[in-house]
Amino acid sequence: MAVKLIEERCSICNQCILVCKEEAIKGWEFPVIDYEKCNECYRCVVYCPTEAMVKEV
Amino acid sequence: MDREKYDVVVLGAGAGGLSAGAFLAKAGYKVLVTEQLPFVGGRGSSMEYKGFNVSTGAGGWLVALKDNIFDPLKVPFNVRMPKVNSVYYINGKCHDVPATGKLRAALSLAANAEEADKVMRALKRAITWELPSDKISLRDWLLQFTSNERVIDVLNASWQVTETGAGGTLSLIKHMRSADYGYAINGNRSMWESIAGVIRENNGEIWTRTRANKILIEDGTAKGVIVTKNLLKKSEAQVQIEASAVVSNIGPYGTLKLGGEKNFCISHVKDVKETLRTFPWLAFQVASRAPILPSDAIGFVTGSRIVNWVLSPTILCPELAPKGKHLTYVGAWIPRNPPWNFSKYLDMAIQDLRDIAPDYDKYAEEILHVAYFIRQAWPMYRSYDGYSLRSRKTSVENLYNAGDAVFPRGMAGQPGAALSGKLVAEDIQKRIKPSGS
Repeated sequence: MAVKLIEERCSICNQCILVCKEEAIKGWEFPVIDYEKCNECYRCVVYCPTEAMVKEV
Repeated sequence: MDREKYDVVVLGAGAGGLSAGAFLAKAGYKVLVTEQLPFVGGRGSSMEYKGFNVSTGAGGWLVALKDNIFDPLKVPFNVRMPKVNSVYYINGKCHDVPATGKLRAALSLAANAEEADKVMRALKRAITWELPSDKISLRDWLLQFTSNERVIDVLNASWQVTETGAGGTLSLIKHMRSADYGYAINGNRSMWESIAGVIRENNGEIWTRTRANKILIEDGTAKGVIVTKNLLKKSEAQVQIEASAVVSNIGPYGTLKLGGEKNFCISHVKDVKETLRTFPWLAFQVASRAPILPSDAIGFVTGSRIVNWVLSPTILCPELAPKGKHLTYVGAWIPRNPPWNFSKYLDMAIQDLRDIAPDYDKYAEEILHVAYFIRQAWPMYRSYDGYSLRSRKTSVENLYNAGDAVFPRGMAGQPGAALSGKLVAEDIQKRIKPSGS
């Protein structure tokens, strides 16, 4: 399972960037996930207020 | 599915939800507040990032909250206030303005005393006699009295004059002209934790990481909610909660979605869809090794490309940054509707910041956080001033909205959202008795 961004839901609050311990999410616009760095902790999913970050099954 | 029973369930632990929950808990109601995120305070909160206390939305704390709204809760607040409440950046220069008569002073500085007097007379007449409607924007209302763009710019620094309704915004000027700003010493979240503490101390509960799935409605009356608690934990579970009243702090669109549109009067559905106008905003926070702005006061920026608001909280509250570092908060209006050009907006905002902060390039180290707040689900405000819903009641009995789509007339921001929650709590107290009484 990986994390996926659903752009149509994203408000670009970028809280996901603030909470990612691996610094795997970057961007000054819609967040961009670096899957090499992502350890699938899902903090970004938990902290996303608009359910734009989702667990991809 | 587990089942539980409370007097009132509040969906969302933002300013409106926490306020409603705290006043009800204090009044003896058995209250449950559910919050999808792992923290309270919503867009008025903060989080640690690289040693900085970074805002999730709101940059400062309006002391009006403390003095007028939450006094009955007797909550300890830790706020530091700048000696000078507001400054105006006009033609790139920072000007102190007196706490009383600051708008007139700013208008005089931007244009001249004659033009300032003309506009202030019109404002006074509207405020003390009859407010205009929201069928025209604040800009269109102002154009009746002045064509001086520098004058309009001063007002645009506080209110996005092309989008805000004239009546709603003038009402705001009338009611909030004496509002003071301050900074929460331990970050905005600490303030909302204090309010959450009132709920917990009065036998209420706050469930974070809990998603609301459905508002239960029977025969036109709210009966409770179904939630999923402990999101993404092994203990994740659905719970049905029975309650005598439901307060939604997730926005009227969210309320409609969870309740099912068919359960609401079509006039309410129409009101929500035709009244609310999502208010997007660009906000970013810059880390620096020295303050890049000359003042710790809230700064209103005129004559800029896009920036309207700057704050330098760490001059007054060094606790919000690692030792020797500083934080600057910048806010900028962006267009209401797409297509948006985000990189262009940020470039323009940084240019604006350079114009008012000559030491920006010398001291700035990193842009810590950039946010645009473009969606109704997580905007700057759920509606521009003047386009809030007039009622906090929905058409479903005992189902209320609280928060930034149902500001009381003349209020906005965190105070407006908090007051909406307090008013909902007062209405519930008139209608429903707590179970323990």
